[in-house]
Amino acid sequence: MKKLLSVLLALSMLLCLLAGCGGNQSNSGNSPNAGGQSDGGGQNDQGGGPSQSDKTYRLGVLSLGSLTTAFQAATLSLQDMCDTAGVELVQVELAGYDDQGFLTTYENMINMGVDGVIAYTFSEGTIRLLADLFEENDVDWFLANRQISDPDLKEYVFSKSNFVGNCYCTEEQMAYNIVQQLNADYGVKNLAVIGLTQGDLNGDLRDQGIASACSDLGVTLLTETRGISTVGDVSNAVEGIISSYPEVDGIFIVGGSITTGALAGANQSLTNHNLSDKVAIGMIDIAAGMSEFMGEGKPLKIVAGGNLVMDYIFAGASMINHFSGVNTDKTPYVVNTNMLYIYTPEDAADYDAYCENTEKPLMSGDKWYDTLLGKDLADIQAFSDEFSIAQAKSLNQ
Amino acid sequence: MNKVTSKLLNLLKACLIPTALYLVLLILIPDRVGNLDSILSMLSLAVVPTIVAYGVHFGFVSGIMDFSVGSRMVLSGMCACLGGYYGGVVGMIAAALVSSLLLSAIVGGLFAGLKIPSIVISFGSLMVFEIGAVYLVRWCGQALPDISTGQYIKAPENLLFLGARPWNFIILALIAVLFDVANRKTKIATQARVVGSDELIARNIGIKPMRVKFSTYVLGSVFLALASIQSACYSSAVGYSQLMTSASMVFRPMMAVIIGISMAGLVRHSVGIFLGSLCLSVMFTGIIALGWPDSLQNIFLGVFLTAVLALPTVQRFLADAKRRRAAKKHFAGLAAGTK
Repeated sequence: MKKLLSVLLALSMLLCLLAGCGGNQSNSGNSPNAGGQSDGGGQNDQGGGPSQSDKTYRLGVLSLGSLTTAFQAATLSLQDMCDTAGVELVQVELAGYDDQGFLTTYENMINMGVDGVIAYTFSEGTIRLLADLFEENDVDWFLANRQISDPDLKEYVFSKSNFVGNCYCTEEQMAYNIVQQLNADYGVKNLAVIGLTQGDLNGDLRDQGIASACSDLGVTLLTETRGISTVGDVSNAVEGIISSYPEVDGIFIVGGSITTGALAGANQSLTNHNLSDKVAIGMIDIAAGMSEFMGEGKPLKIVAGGNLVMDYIFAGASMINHFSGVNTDKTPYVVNTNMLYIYTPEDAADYDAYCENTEKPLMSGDKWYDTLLGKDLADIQAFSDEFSIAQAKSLNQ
Repeated sequence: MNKVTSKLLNLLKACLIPTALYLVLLILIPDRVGNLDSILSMLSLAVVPTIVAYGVHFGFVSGIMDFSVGSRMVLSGMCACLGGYYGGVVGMIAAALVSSLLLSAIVGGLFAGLKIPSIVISFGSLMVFEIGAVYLVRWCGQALPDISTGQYIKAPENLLFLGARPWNFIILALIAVLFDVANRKTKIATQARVVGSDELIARNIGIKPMRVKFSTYVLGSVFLALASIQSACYSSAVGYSQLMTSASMVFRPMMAVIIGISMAGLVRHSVGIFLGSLCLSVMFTGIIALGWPDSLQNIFLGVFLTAVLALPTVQRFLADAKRRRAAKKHFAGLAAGTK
């Protein structure tokens, strides 16, 4: 009996082994590469489509659509680009908004068999771990929308063979520019800051830019308040600022998730004190309904943002180009993106319609090949430098 | 000393904490806070947290830790705004009340039915309600673009006066009276206190703790509905919160409740809670006026929160010490008499 059982067990193990091997072979053989190719409209002819193997390239990306519309718009454009290039975009829900949550999500992506990942993280603390994780699993990756401020870490990450590149906006400079414009165009001399929670990589860089601009331009940084989570918090903060500092003539809303309704709250407090036309607001990160608070007699003067969408698009294009063998010397891509500046209600409406539209991608079809796919770093950078709301409008037609 | 004089004296004593805090600020930054506008701002900033604290109070005294309050307020605030567009003030109040009662009944029902700790239920509900708010706003953004941007719902402009001075103070006074009546005259409030002090005794005298706790959710929801209206009209919009950030909306009201309960010997809970909220408002404005960096603000608020939470323990310790001293004195007197 024991012998019979052991023989049956050995046979079943052998069957499992064979089934496992057989499954793998058949999967790669039946890989639906053709589906992507036929949709792509002959992209291989144009030199941009994935051509290294028959297997469909699987690109992993975080699904953060529930966080802001910018992520929705970014993923929509990315999906269109991938469809065009015959790449499968694998969207994975974020497991948690802390460092561990990000790591778990990327581990999930690897388990799902992705070939490359567009990585995004809130803090710099996880980047080294990510570099090791992707190296161990031989997965290509691209760091989007985050600038590595620690030079040692940067060197470490850039030394990794499977690190494809990094695109980021010079957050510090953007914050500096906004203070400069508030000062030069609207005479802001006394500024209050409604900031992001400390520890947010981009938020910290923006803070540095604000401090540096205030110091260079002689603008007094009156006070700062953080930890804002609701519209009411913003109203309270502005109420506190204007009652304590009658001299305040500018408010900088540093952005991020606090911008959901932040403008409405800030505007209402200013309206209650008849200060709508006396205090100028500058803001980083796009918020819905901006146009309502812009224009003559309204407080919102400058908004900068939109780089998140472009960062994702550049990251996707770089990954596809890398896979397609465009970047032959394998030097990591470094793409500098710019924020788009919005000054008028018309700019705001155009931005919403063409740059951050959650229903329609930035561009589609062959336009991806005309602009980004199959292009080298210099071309991508040139596209980034010239990108504007007007250009988005023309691409979107 | 007659009863009225004694009550006035107690009220003055209770007012000492916010007054002392304000005086400290006045000494440090007289030009920033030494004006009527600043004082009115501090009072205004205390309005919404006070009403929320009234809503939290009943559950808190019965031993419930509820962090879903913020998410419920966000959802009922959104419903209030929508109701306001279609039915004016009445529509706004009705929509806020119905939605708040419904949401509170869901949380309370889950708590009482499943017998899961209130803190766990509150976080579970919070996550669901936060996502519910996101979907509601996005749906409104598409279906009703005039009143919603897809990120927040605007409060009706003709009703914004409810959140502005002096209406907010008048409404707060009316709600305080309502709370006072509910807290002193209703069976639920009394039973909630009994359940909170000792559930076993409560059970022995025929009170059903779970039923009482469920009722505190429902009773509190009336005040939360009114707070959500105030908040919406004050900020002119209600935006969704994500990543459990709405949990933070209950921190200040909870601190106000603790301060209010500590002052129970001096003033009624309604007044004590308002004074507690005012203390926090003075501190919040003061910290901004002092221009402290965020890290220092957090340290100060953390220390203050710990101090507030330690207040009941310190009070108990002082009362015990006083009792021990009195007993010692009494026995010493007895011993001397015997000799």
